[in-house]
Amino acid sequence: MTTLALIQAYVPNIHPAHIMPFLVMLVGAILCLIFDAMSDKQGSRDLLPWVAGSTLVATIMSLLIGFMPYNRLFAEETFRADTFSVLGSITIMLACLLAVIMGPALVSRRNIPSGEFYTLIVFVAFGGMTMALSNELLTAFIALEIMSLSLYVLTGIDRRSSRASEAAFKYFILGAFASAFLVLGIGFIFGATHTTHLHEIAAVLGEGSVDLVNGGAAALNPIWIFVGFALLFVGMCFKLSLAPFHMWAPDVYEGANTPTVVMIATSSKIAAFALMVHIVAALARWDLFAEGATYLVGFVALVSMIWGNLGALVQSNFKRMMAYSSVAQTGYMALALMVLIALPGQLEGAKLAAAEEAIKNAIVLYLVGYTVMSALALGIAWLIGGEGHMAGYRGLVFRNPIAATGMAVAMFSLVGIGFTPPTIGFMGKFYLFKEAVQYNFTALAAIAVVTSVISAFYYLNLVVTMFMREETEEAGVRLACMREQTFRLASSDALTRVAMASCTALIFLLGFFPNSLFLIADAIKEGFLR
Amino acid sequence: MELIIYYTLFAITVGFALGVLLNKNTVKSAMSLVGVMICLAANFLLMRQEFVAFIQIIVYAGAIMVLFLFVIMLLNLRERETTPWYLRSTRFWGGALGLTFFFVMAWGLQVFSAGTTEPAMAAVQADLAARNTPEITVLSTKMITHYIVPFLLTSVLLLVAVIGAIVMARRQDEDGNEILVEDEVA
Repeated sequence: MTTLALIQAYVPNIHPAHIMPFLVMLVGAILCLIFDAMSDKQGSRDLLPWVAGSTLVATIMSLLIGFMPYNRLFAEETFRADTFSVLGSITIMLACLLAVIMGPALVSRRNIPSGEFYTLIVFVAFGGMTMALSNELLTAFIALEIMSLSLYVLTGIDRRSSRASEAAFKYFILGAFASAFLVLGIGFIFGATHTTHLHEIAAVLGEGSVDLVNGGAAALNPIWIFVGFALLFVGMCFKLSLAPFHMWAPDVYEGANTPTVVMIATSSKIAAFALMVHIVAALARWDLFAEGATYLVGFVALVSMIWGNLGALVQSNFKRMMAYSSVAQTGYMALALMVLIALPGQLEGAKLAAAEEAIKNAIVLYLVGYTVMSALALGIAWLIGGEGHMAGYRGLVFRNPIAATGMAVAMFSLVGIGFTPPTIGFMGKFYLFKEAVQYNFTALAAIAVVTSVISAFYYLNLVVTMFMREETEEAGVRLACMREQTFRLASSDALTRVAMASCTALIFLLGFFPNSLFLIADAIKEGFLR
Repeated sequence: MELIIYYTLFAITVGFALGVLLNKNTVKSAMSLVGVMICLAANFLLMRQEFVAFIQIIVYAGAIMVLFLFVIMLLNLRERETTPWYLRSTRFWGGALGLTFFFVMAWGLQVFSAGTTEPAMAAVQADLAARNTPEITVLSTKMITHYIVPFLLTSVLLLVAVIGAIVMARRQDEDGNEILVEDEVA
């Protein structure tokens, strides 16, 4: 047969049902665009958030129903769904849904092109989900770019705000720079292993030789993989805003509109962590890798925990504080990632698999928890207009006791250690640090605990400001000013309040019953909803 | 023979790359970048990767560099008049960091590529020789079979890029209202 005949006879091994969530999202995004193009000047555009929102909900449904085969490769070996990626995808969808709910107020007041705004939010979710599910480095890179490009534009979509434009420009330039590192890293790994599929990379590393096209085999030179991983990790550190690659975060958080900040803080981190966990799981089969990469990731985790928490101490702007706090929180998760890399050196066989599963679950629990906590904090700040200087929070409890209580719950949960046993923040940190101690990283775990205590200063400082300081005229004016900039819409506000209430409920629910999260994963795995 | 060509090309490429960095005039810098691209294409030819070589010339030297030049000429950049004090030493520190990165990489590759054995290299070369099919066939076959998903996803990426470009480039009047096409026609 000629090559042409071979290609014509080849049917790509993609089952439409398996890629249902992707199809739902793409159709939804295109619908948003068409709806925008067909609607008259205003009026029917108000329905756009409903189109985008129902797209996201439909995707969550199709993920829950479990069309995708679990723990098995599908769609030309490009994707693989496991507990981490499915739970991560659902959380990404929920965070983007919150952005859609908050959107209408922003769009109507700041004169933002609504069709593009909602379409891009759907594309953020699409890119994040594709990244979390991908088993192939090229796909992961393209998905990352889909997500990042959408986020760059969403950051600067408020063209009248010079801060937003500045933030978008910084984010774009630094993001492009980080992408270059990422691609170079992927190139090195491809050069060493002759494949971009993670399961094949693992196989090549296990065998120690590369199969060539003519049937021969070449000895593997694993250093290229280490160089590749180091470069790739630098690129991902940028996306995760891990120190010392976090410099963009405070400026972008401050300049971008809050719905976008919610997505930058949560969706992009979940997607990047899912990808890192999958890459690490594939590369960890090679002993030398563990040795070098443990130091690399450990160093980044250490610097992030210290720098993030110390940086947050001196902030007076709420969003900047949240940015530094996110650096610190990601540092804690990088700690678990490091344990995951070091694990194959300490355990073997079935024990290793079980331990890896436990660490992955700890990371995903913390990611979900972090999403809920920061969504609650940012959402309440958005509702009361407290995204600016923290002096606006003085005596908030006398003016708006419900908002103050909600914010206090978020802050206590973000502190985690010591104060508040039954919150997700505590349970998440408990599992992360427990894994670190269990596999002999006691010193790093101790530093993590100490930095958590430091973090209590700035988180609880806000609680003190809200509950124990006198209410001042100036504080009220500050909040009113900020609120004025993003005019309220009753329907959007009401839905945001509902979302905030469910976030608060989730913080306690997952705090008391952290395992309920994995019950969902098990239900999808069993496929009894199908 | 190949080695001689390789080292000559190497020298020319580095020369052009230095030209990109050191030229004060942005247009000259961009033209040096064209030179770098063409030298890289020649390098690919030396490795018998004809397809990549021509893509390099058509896409990079042709399309992308023309775009660069357009942007440079549209912006009409002039030299910055004053440099704030804290930016004066960036050139030095940036250069030092870049050099450090280069030497660390070079050292690392030197130390570890000692593991590349001669037979392994021979096997790779035999592999290249045994491939009688034109590489463009290999490439395109892979693209529409095993790598079809990333290939399709690229279209989504382009769609996002187009939407983003339109959002960022759309004109606004003083109040920040969008200027719609219909309004301009009317």
